[in-house]
Amino acid sequence: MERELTDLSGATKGFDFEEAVHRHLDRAYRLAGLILGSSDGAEDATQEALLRAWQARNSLREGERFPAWFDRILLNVCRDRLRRQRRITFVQLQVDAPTTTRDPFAEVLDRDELGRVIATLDPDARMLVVLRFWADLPIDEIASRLNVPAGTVKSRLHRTLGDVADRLNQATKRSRHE
Amino acid sequence: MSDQDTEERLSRDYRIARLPAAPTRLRALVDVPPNRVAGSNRPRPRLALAGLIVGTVVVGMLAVGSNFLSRDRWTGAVGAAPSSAADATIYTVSELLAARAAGRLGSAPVRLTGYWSDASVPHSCAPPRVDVASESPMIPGELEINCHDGEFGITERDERIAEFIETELPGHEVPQSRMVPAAGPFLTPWVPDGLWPQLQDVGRETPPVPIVVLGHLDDPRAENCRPEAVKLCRDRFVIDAVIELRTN
Repeated sequence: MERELTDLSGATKGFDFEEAVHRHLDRAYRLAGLILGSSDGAEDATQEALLRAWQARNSLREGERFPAWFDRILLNVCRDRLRRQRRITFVQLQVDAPTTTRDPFAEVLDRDELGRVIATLDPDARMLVVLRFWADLPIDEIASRLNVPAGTVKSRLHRTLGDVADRLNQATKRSRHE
Repeated sequence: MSDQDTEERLSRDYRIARLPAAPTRLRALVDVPPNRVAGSNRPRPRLALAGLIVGTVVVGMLAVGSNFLSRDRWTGAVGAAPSSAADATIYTVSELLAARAAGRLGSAPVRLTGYWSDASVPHSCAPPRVDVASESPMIPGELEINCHDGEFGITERDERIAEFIETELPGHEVPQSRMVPAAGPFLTPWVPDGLWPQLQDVGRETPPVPIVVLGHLDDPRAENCRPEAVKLCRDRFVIDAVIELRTN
């Protein structure tokens, strides 16, 4: 936000919230879609994040970049939604269940075994994977968005990748025996 | 598979994923026409979010979450018939295809009538061949409707666009399926995200549904298609609005 200035109250002055949202909207929608695995969920989550961001826009402070600030809000919304989904449904994801959807985000998760494994990760692990490998963010940027130390991101990422690799290897072995 | 293999596969899978842009409904919330953003004397945009929040507080709906702007309530606005179709003719599928073949239809809006049906079934799609060494686009463009072309869309006659027929063949443990296309003319249009809620369950478990849509050909996204599919994409009918859908 090149034009950002900050007044004494800390609120960003001269910052065009609407313009920033417009620039960031597609990326935010895709980020939410990849985390939630559905375009409906992505739309609802982005809308909710927009509302929260608008209400909290005065908390955007000098030096705080809009994308990171908005991402944090969006990620919180997505985390809440994923946890709520799990609380409400109480079902194990059926990784082999056929789907009839053409939802582009669901297709990413249903494209192959890797996608199906990603779909079963817990919310924080899934967000970590998407931020690292889709958004291509460095560790410190991910840490800032998830509000955890960089070392935690590194260890969680390492653990998650190991877990994913194990599950893929198990799936490969299973398919060989079938 | 090692952690590094997993990392590489994840990066590659995400890189080739073709993800949609934010739907119009979301963009409308911010209400800043992009062509008004540039320039120093642009009018201060009236953020729809602000009004939305005020309205939300007034009606006390915030407590029930973000679904107060349900997709259903927006569908009418998105699907409302635009007022300025250049050509008042309502084409049938065969007329549209003939006019296109004769070079009489460019990218101008046209109306099309027929029967909507959706015969798509769950099946796996072979991943596209990606030639990473080539600079030409090897990933199917969205207008190619890779893998599902011909499974849903508009027929001229009152018939389903396709039927999947299962046949038990000797030597096969499971029935073999084959797709039999409609006997008459048909086309599979590109449907924007905002209109899918109106169409996604229509004509699937029911007979084909009469439909009138407004759309266009020669969509600029055809240039994103693979070289061998650019013509197919230019000829793809892109729906802009559903004018009529007689589900009853």
